[in-house]
Amino acid sequence: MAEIIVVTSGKGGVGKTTTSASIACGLARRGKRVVVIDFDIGLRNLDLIMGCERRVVYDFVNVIQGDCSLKQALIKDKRIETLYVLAASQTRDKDALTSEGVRRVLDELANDGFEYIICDSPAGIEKGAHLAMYFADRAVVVVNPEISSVRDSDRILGLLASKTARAEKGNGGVKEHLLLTRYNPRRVASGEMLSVDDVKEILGLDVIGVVPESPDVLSASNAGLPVILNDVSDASHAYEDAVARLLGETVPLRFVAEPKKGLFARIFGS
Amino acid sequence: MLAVGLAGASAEIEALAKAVDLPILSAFRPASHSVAAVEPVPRVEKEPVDSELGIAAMIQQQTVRSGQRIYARRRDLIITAGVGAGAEVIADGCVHIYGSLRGRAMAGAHGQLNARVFCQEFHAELVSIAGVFRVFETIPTTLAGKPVQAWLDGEVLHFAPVGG
Repeated sequence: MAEIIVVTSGKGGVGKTTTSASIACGLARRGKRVVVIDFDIGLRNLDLIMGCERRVVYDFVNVIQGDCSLKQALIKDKRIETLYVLAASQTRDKDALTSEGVRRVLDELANDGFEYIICDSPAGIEKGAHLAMYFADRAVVVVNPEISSVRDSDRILGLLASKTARAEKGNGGVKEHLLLTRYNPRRVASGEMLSVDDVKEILGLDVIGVVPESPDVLSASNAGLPVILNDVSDASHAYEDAVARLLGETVPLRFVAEPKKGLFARIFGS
Repeated sequence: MLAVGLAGASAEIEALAKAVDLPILSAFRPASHSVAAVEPVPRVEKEPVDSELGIAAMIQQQTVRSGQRIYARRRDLIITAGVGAGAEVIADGCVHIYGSLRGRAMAGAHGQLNARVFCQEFHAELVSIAGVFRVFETIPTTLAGKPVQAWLDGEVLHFAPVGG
């Protein structure tokens, strides 16, 4: 039975697509059969981050409207055996999505043997975001440690608890997880940025991971290589930890403390 | 669409509110003058004994998230979790929050002057009792983060720390 995970946030630009790509790769690298779907119709980015933008022939809207089969639209990742991408349409907009159509596609993917279906939600709380979260079993809410992002995530958590299929049927609700991204321990220490504890207090949820601010994220998106596949980056290790926690493992939180400068670094500058 | 309240403060609106049994949400009258934060709590007079059993309070166990609005009609509202910034909790009776209040709390929505607001951790944006409201641009240090109760005395809203 497939598990549907929505990656959402409310606020734009916090790292949903980066997170969707990295989590999908992290799960697939562990042998799971994973498909990641871009719900941002008209403003598609997932294919760029995954590095398959020149291989998109058919997209999500084509499948919903029956222009092609699901198999024709799924793009197999070149690096990881069990990973597939379903890109969004660039020429249409969110009105092309229908609840019935999305449900049909998700059912077909589940029947096709996929273990994890990652839904990359667009920003906002309109139709695209609503449909991305509606059928979810679990949600990863991406938050930046900054007040507007926290406020918008609070709103999204409210919607997850009330406007999803699981909430309406009353069978447990959507399991919510918080992922803190673009975390900068130095700015937290100087009081400019909210800390992990501040965010936990305001939103009332534990974090499933803390991803530090890293220049590797931009390099990764430029190269079309999800940052988790970069073996030396802090961001990559943080995403690996988050995937481990998603699968139920207990992993201590890394990258929340300011890295201590060694003697040479302090004498000669960092 | 589920109507939650009526806006406006004319006599016709009030009559309509009575007829359809909805609270009036913007018959706001600002607190008449600025109030010192810490005041002695007045003694509550004993209510006359009533043989009819009242309705139990509405109980909300989940965190009230930003953008959500909870309304307890003709009874108290008890919340055993936090109220997020941008959320609204409204009751015709009292509002009791066993958690932090970061949003708006409005008690006595139909004009009950004796209604009160209680919370464990005060960071409210707005508190209103029977339409008399106060907005908190900054929260006085005597109240911030502490258990606080709010009550109405005439046209004046009072706030004071509550509990042991």
